[in-house]
Amino acid sequence: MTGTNAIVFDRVGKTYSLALHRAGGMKSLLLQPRRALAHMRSGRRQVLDDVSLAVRRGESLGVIGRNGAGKSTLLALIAGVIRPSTGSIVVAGRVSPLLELGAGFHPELTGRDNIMLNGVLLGLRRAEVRERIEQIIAFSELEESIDEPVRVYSTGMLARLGFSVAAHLDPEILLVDETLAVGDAAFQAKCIAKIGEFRARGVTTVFVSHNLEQLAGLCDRAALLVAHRLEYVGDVAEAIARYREGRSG
Amino acid sequence: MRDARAARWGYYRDLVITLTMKEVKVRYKRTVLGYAWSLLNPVVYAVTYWIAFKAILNVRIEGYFAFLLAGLFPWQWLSNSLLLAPNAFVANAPLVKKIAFPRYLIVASSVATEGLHFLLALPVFAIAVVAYDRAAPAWSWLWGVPVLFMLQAAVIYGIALAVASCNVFFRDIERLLVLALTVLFFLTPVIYEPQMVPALFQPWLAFNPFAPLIVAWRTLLLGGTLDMHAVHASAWIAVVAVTVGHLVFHQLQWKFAEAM
Repeated sequence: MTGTNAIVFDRVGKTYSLALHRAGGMKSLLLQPRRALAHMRSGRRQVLDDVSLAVRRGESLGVIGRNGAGKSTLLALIAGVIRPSTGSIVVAGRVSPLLELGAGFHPELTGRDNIMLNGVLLGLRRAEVRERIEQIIAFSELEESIDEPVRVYSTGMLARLGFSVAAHLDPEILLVDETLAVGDAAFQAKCIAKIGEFRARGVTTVFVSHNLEQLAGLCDRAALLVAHRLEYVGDVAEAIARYREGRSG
Repeated sequence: MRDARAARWGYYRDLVITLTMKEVKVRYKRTVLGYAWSLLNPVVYAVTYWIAFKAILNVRIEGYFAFLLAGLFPWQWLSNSLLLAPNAFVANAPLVKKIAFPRYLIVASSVATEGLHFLLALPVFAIAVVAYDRAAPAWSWLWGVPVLFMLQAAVIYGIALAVASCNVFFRDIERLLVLALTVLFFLTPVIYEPQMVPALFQPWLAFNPFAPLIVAWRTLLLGGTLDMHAVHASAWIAVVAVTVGHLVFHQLQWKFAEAM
């Protein structure tokens, strides 16, 4: 099944424990252990329900849905930071998540130090980052401030630095979560061109975005999540039409 | 297969080096004294305890100042690493939530960072000890220091990993730990000799995971001998700590991203 597929979801469900989000702390556990444990087990919320999906190698899939529909959970499952509660997932290939703004950057370190840090965290060897660092800096167009701590960077500059590191990884599967909504128009165009390059190289890509026009231009297929379930997978225009219908209706 | 494994270990090593370098660079940013802080802390404690226990309570230990330093430097490493542990995952939430990398390496690198500071403080300690005429650096340091260093790193790492994992869910751990470390400091033979503990309490000393290490460091740094009995005890404690730490971590790590 995985021969031509990069990602396969087989009847995947994911529930989050509500207890983890409550402030309860240890007090209730110590004072009323029975009730606290029962409470922990019972309070679960479904975030994905019975999702089956296959993404072919080299394909790019857009994921759309309202806030809270389960889009980010889907990406986290592909990235392997959480496990499904039910069903199974097969991911064949090296996954690179395109991090949200500045995640993994340390504000006190310089842009250059942060490139090293981020590059290694995202799976490169130190030597590989060193080989690519000049290219990364050039791509980011941040030559002038690269040796300043990133806390003085503007939001747009952080986004550029983050994307530039990601653009120089060798992913087999690229995950893009809303990252493209930042930066000025010129840099956005550059990002989209870079993603096009990845696609041309046969990198499997999964996008999550609210920018439907952008998505339409970038994806081969789209998946529509409605209330934690996979409502539709297939033609991008059709998925967008259904999504809009659902919103107005 | 072997190549893949070698590449993975090489990558893990790079990850630890990078995270450790980050910690070292960030640690003393915007401080005037910088690295001197890792010397200053134990010295200030040593002076304080010397005043309290030697000058005022007149404890009967020869060369008490050097005695204090020899225990306080390793204790400082231990306690600093453990105090950082609760936040190891919590403070790195964006990474833990988005990237699937071996997260236990975050803890490993924070133990390594503190260990590095300890190693850098050793030469200064040696000079101080010579100046104080209590002892001279011995050849046995050459093998004794690496052995005790690895053992202590393993003990701290195991405990820190469990603490870091649990603190994601119960932030109480952080407060408990501060309290526990203060209590443990006085229950560990840092400011007194283990022989001074009354016979009634002697057996309890065996339950203190840090006691053999601190005693071994002092015997090595002041006496120039490697206490093999303490090394054996610490080795067992290290094995237990690392095993328990990883068991707890593996149980909990899949819930990190949802709990943060």
